[in-house]
Amino acid sequence: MTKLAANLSMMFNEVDFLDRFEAAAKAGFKGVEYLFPYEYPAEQIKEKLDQNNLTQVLFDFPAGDWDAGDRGCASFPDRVGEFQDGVGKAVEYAKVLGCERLTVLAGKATSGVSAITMHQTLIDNLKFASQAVEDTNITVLLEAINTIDIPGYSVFRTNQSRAAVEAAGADNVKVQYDIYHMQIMEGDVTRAINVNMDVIGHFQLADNPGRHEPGTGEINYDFLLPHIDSKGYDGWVGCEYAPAGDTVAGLTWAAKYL
Amino acid sequence: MPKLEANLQFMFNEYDLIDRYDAAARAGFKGVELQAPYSLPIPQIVERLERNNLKHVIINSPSADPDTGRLNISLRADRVDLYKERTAQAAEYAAGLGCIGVNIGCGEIDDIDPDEARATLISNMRHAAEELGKVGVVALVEAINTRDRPGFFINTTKQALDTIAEADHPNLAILYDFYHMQIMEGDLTLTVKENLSSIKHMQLADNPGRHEPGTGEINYDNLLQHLDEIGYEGWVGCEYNPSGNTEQTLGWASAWL
Repeated sequence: MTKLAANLSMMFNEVDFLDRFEAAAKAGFKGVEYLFPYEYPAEQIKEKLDQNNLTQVLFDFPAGDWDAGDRGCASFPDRVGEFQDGVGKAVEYAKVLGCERLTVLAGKATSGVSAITMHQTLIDNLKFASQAVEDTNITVLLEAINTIDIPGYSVFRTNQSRAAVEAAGADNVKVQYDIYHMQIMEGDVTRAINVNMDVIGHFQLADNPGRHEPGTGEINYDFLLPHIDSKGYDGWVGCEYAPAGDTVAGLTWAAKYL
Repeated sequence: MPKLEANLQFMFNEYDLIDRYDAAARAGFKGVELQAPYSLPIPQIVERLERNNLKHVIINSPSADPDTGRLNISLRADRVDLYKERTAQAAEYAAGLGCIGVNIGCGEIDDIDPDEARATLISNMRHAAEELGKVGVVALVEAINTRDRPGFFINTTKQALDTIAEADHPNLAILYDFYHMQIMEGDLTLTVKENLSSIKHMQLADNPGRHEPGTGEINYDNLLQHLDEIGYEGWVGCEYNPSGNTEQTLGWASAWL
């Protein structure tokens, strides 16, 4: 049975961040994910999770200066210290929140750093993160993202994220497969999921185009979600979409899973 | 309202080739396509079309190499004369059957030098566009996925567009196949929207499996509606292998037939 997690960065934007936990629980979600918890004390978020009986499914490692355009810093040789500091911070939060998945954002390609150097830096950083969570039940995830929404993003195909994860060479480093991003970049998602299920540690979804609810675009989630189930995946699927209208009103597609 | 037509090479295999025209009409189709009509005399097909009030939307130009059996004469410099003969045959059938277009073929690169293949293809495309234009038929170029057809020379929308731009003939257009492009590139809705002016025919099947819509990862209810919204006025060929009996697996199409 598909386990859906609400992505609180994109869903329930009708209310303030800390109130989204209650809104998600009321809508029937048992788990939540979001980009970052770092603006709030971990204990404050923990309280919201407990009050609403929610599992903290996933959040991202600190990803540089978001407002300045950073979308991760894990591939830059001159920012390894920053990445490593971020790992420490993320793990502290994850331990308080009971979160078992942390996602690495690779960052955008920058002039002056070769793709090979970026890839190698990313692998080294994945290894560092892997060792940092060695004695926990946390899995480190790497996500490929489409380059239409984030022009220049350096990891944008499944084979890139898989290659980096394999090179990191640890059981606690896996691929986060976002069906929306990969439908934009490469298509053939069912087959990609089948072939990469051995390294996939988390899924995210949205329809395409528009990044709205399933049912609003070209992807048949009524087929895909049961298919993922049938492959033996027992993890979470994060609903990382921008509701086309009111979040709750747009949840009819998910009724059978919530 | 999308105009669906039946691909008689793939569908209605429960019947002999000539009887598939009747079967398609009985199922509600107003149009058909058939890659290779050449085993049937034109008047025999025309009689079925008229009897069933069917439009024969497209056919393919015969592209098999007589020596190797490979479907790639359009890429072979030493087969240019044969390509011209085949184009003439396709033009005769397309005109006789009242087709809107002919899929003029491409094929696998095999051991052909890529530069030679490209130059030959471009030259052949111009020839086919010119000859088919004389009988009022569009020359269609289709990108095909390399999983089903390893080495297929034109395998993305961009390659098809680039080739057409290079050939630079007003009678060339794209045959956009959702199934092939879902395997090769995804992002179907925006691709057809952005390239609508270059697309004169479409084909569909779900993925994986190449069966009827509803059996895979593509939401055709939304895609077909989208074609209406963007003003596509052409046909959509159902080029899929039915997962069971053709008539019994047409439920997905009932809204459109």
